Amino acid sequence: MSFLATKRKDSLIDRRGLWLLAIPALVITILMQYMPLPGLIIAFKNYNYGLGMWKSTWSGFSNFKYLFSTDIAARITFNTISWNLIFIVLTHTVAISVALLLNEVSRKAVKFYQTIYFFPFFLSWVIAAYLGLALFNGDKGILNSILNTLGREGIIWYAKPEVWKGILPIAHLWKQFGYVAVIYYTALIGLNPQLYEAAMLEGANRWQMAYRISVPQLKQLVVILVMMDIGRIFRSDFGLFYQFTRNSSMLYPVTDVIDTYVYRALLTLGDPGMAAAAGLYQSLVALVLVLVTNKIVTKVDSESRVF
Amino acid sequence: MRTKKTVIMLILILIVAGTAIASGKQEAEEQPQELVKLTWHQIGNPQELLPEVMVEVNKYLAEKIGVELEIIVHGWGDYNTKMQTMHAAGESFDLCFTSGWANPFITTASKGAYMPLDDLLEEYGKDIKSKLNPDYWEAAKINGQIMAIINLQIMSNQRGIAIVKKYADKYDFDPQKITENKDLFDFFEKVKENEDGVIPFFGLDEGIYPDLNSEKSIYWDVIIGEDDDYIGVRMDDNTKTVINTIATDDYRRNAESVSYMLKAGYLPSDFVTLKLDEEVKGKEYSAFVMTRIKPGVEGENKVRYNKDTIVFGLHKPFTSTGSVSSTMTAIGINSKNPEKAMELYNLVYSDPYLYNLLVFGVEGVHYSLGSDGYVEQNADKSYSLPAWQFGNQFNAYLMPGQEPDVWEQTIALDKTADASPILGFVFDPSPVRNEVAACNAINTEYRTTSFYSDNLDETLNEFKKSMANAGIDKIIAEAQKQIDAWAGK
Amino acid sequence: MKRLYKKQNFGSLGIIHFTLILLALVCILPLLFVISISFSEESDLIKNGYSIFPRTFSLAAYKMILENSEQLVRSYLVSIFISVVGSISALTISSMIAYVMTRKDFKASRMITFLIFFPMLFQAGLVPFYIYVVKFLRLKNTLAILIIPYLVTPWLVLLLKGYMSQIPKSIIESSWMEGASELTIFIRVIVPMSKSALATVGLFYLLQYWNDWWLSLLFISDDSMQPLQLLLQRILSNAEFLRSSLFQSASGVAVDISKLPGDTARMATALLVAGPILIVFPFFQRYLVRGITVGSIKG
Repeated sequence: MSFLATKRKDSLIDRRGLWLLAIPALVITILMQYMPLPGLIIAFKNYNYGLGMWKSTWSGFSNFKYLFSTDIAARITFNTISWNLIFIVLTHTVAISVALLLNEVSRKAVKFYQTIYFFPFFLSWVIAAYLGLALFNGDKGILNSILNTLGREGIIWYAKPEVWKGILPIAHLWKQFGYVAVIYYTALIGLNPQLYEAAMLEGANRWQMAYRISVPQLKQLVVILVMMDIGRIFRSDFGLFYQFTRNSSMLYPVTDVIDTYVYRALLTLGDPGMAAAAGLYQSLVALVLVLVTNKIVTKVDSESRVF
Repeated sequence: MRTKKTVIMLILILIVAGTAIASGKQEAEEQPQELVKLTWHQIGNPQELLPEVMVEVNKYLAEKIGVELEIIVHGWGDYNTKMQTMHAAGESFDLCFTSGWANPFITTASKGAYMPLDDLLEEYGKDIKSKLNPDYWEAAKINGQIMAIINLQIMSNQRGIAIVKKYADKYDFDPQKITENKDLFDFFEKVKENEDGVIPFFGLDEGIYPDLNSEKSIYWDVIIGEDDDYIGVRMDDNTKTVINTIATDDYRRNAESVSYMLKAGYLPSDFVTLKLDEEVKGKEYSAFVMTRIKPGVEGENKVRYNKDTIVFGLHKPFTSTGSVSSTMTAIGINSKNPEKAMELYNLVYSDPYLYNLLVFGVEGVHYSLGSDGYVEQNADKSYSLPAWQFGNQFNAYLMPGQEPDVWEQTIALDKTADASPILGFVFDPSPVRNEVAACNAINTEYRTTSFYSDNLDETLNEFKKSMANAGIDKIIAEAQKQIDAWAGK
Repeated sequence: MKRLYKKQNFGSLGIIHFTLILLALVCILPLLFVISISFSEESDLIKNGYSIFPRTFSLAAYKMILENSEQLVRSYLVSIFISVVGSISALTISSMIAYVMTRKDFKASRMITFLIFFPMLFQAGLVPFYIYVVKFLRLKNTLAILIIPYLVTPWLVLLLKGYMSQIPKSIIESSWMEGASELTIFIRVIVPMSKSALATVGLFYLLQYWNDWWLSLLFISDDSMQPLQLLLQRILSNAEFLRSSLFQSASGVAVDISKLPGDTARMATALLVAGPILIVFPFFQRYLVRGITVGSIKG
């Protein structure tokens, strides 16, 4: 039998090579992810700057009670979830469509398009915010210039929440679709050509073949990817909701999500207790969601499980 | 071979970058003597020439009290957030600026960010105590303990608008003759029509000023903080009734007029995100808001913005807890040398040499002192820090534009200003801290939204509803309870 | 797919290319606007607003920035430092742990795998993390805190693990038979065989560090240590930050800021940061593409 199967002593000494390799990552993970965990008690305390985390008085569940009793929890939860749902539907639809289109053109052309579609992915949200500023600036922005030449009034974009219902999905799509399209495209080119031969002999055109053959073949992949996205539905892309919106307070009804609220409550409003409570609420729900969706994914494709 | 080259290149870049950064940090670690090091956080315009001034300051301080001082100036927009993060992290600092409008005193002090100062003042702050009217100390007390040192300067408050003289003259506009808002708006309209590249007005994103002239306007004394003005007591109300200001007609009219100015193009469209100081310096405005009018303000404007202005008040001057405590300095709860910090501040309070050094710079280098006692700033080496952050402003040399008896005038003004019915009352937010946090957040959002709204009434209704859900009535009840108890004393 | 087609339908191919080109335009247009603004004349913009092509071509913005480039250069150095040191360290550490995870014969590997991936399920959140880093670790305003948190990024470790688990166990075995230590096996066998995965993950780490503004937003208040993205963000949120930081005149007497490039300079700064990324990264695209697909499909 191979040495890997023989019973070898698993003591520290015998396995010191592997332990050596593993230690740095373990130390870092413990340092950065596990050691902050006790800080969760802040959610249950009346945090006093002078007394600090340990000596501040307990407040029981009052932070949570308060969080849920006002409009806050409702709004940030609703925003977080609904935005993610919209993003999932949009991104995957567009990405699949683009992948299908790319599948029809030459490899050279694909390379060209892909390079450009990747630009938004390479840029950070801070830079994207500048692109947004060029478009949305109230006095001088390009969109308002265009509106003016068409004889219409300019809109003060950063002050009107309703328009961001359209802007946010487009911005998110702009940044993500290139990346996701690549995944689907690679899957498509990996498909067995024989699948199409029969259809071709029957005179099917490219649209029919895409719709009847390619898409169904992608079903499994779609389910996996969508499930994984749903598992993350309680977390948001902070860059989009904070940087791109330039943290404009007038947009909060539409753009305030759990992550931005926690950040603000901690660093601007000076209420660490509430911030910690909101953060804990988010982590717990996210945990449940990930476990549930992971289970579903395993049923679909057993190779894809993480745990 | 190619990988080897890339690796070598990378290592070289690393070494260069690493040394560049390391050298930047090195200058900090050069003084292993027994001087006590103090840090002082301030708000203002970061000064490029601060280091050379501090060399002189520290020479003096080393001799006098064995202290080495570092002043850190945070920009106007950054200060609140920077201080919040420092409090949340329990970072140790010695002195910091606090007030109702920056690094909000009430909320931060009641969360334990500062040291109680009663004993320290007795021992090390004798000059401070003696110079300040004892009644005013009430404004700096939380739960009976003094939590910050009040800076001595103009104690009364009056908000106003400064009109740039050359435009006023050109369009025959006399601010003293304003009887209704329309008069001011007409002036703005003329500027907008005829002046290319000049923005009519900057300001009024804070406060409630339905009538833009001092005869008509009644001020609301705020209870929680200058920015959190959703509850207040009317200046002329001796029954001291706490009112939800958002529900008042005054509030609505104020939002209306700001909204009007926005739509008419008198205000820059994103004015809520801009900073007054930088805007007025960086662009051409025909008028801007003045947060504090005092004797000599026109002179200050001349020096600060190089503009001749006519300033008029938006309401009658008054003294309130907020106005008295609008510039304070606190000692951090985690400060390692609170005694020395108090000693230092006492010195700034009483020593004109030190005071003027900090505010104006080194005599002969950054400014020259005329024989009449007037300061003339050196245009090439310009330096200045806000005079009201350094203890006792009456120590200051005169600036061009201020009359020789400016300090006497100030004291006289303070004596004659109306006193708010709740002067001396300090609100304790801890019984309703959750409601306060939530209402503060909603207030910040909606106050500006109401300016941009297409349907003001609808927005205001939403605003009121949100505040109700967040518990504003509970806050009002608690505030009234505390005020009644305080007044009954 | 096109190989199957002998007779191409040019009509539908035309529509396809048209759509794809439209998409490409949407991706690029905002960038072009920013470029155009940066090369415009400031006073023209104040009067007439931004435009798609510069009405008056001007290099004033770039001139001002490059003449006062101290802060920009400094931030560049910081960003380069943390990106290079960060990605190399992260790659090393991540590949080591990924390999250990593939060794099913090592009893502890299951527990180790769990320890590393559990944080993907549950995190303490911002508040505990923030207070912990600033109060207990005292790592505020250090370059370390900009590097350490990302050194072990779970999904990238996963990527490496997925790739490495495909290395035939027999190779490891035979090396062991020849008396090689675990470390030697790792360095001499595993690493060379994982070159393309390492390249991919290395690039992802590089991109992550270079584009990060989150850690510096939280922990950096010292101007001399701000990386590019943080500098950009401050310039964006404070309209006058750029001009006033370059020409600090207290009483406004020395320099008339209003005459200096403002918006044009902000856009120019953004370009000076985005430019290098957009020029450099496309060259490494194929590694990234490979990585994305392997990573997502193999979970």
